[in-house]
Amino acid sequence: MSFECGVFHTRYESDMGLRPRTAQRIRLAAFAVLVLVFPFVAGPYWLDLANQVAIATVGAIGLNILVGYTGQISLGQGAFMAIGAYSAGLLTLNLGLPWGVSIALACVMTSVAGTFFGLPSLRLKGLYLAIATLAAQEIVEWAMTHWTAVTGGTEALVLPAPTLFGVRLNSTFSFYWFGVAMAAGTALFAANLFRTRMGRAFVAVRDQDIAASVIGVNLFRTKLLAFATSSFFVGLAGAMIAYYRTIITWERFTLETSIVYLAMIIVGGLGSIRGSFFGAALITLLPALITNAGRALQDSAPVVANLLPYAQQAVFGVVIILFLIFEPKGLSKLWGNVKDYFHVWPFAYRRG
Amino acid sequence: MRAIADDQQAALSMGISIPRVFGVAWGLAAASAAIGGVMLAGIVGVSPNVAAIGLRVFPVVILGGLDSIRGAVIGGAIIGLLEVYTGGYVGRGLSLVVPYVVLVLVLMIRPYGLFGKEIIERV
Repeated sequence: MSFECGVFHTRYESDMGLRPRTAQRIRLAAFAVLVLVFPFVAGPYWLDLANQVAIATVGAIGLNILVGYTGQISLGQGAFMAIGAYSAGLLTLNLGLPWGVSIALACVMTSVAGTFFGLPSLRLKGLYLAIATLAAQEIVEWAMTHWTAVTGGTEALVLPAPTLFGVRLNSTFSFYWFGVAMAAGTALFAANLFRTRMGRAFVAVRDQDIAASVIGVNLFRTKLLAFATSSFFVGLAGAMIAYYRTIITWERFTLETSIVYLAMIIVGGLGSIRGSFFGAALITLLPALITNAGRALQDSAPVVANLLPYAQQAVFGVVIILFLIFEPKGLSKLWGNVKDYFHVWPFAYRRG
Repeated sequence: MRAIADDQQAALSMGISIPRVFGVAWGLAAASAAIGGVMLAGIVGVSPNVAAIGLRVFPVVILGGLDSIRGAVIGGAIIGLLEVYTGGYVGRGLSLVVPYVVLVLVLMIRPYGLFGKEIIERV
């Protein structure tokens, strides 16, 4: 927990609490109400987007544990999501396991695969580790498309629709509850992880690995655990995609996916749970917003509207560059600034 | 450039303009990549897919060694030939993945590559 202006803890419980302040609890409650009411007022289009945001949040938190908190750069996000999705799908198709069991097993399998690809991190860091994970991505991508006997090659895998108590879970409305539950669970786990010895060891390795090993952090164990924890959630995100779409294709898990997820955590804020959510939401909604803006401008400014679809990818790049230049700590920091301003309002603390 | 690669602060205090050197380095890198792009486009034609070869340079420079020009030339030849031979003799799309398998092996066994300096960032 960081120190905040105007907050005086008088009990240890409140100092160590996850959300000790009343304002934080009110905001959380308001957000929870919003999440609970949303599916009843939103149409299927927005519900679908919300589901994608939920899945992306799980994946972004997973990646943030590795990149933002432990400082191990990974370009293999797409590969790990693919392992999650394909394991979940193949366990159901070949062994006939129920979807819940195969999702759980898929997470564990991704975790093991992540640990394996994390092994180079023990000897390499920085650019070299990035290239090693890039190789992992390419090898898994190749396995997806060419290992026909197992993955079906470039043909899509079609899964049976998941059901829970007789309700089909892959409709936008019912999946929403599953997705929100998973995203909330992941966020809670990650928030608590960094209050434990293990989580703090992750951060210590990020900040200065030599210093961390001097104070008794086992680098070998910590880095591999970071890879395992991170890939567990990334695999969960992959498995969720598999069961939401009930169709698994390799195009969903290319290098571009890895880069999009890296963009999410950079725009949202490295080493921040709420940042992972903000980034996942922004990057997922941005294409939809641009499309909608294009439709809205169709009448008033057709020239702009016609150009917008082409601008989509460029806007994506521009957003990342703008964040890197103006707010490297991402949306999470912006939100923090807003909160800080109102926290001591009207006696704002001014610099200089 | 070598001074900045070694220690930015020391280079700065010796009166080297870091933004200028970075600019020149990026410019030279982009220019040489552009020459490669023009030559490649002459063979496979111009399309957005030309960019895909960009990833293939990583196995090459890692195999050759990151700060070695000789390494880049020899590494390029090795990776290129390996790719063509596996494509020709083994087939089944294996040629796409061979460079990356080599990359992983090199990183595991000899992270500084064939001709690179042995001092690299290691844990």
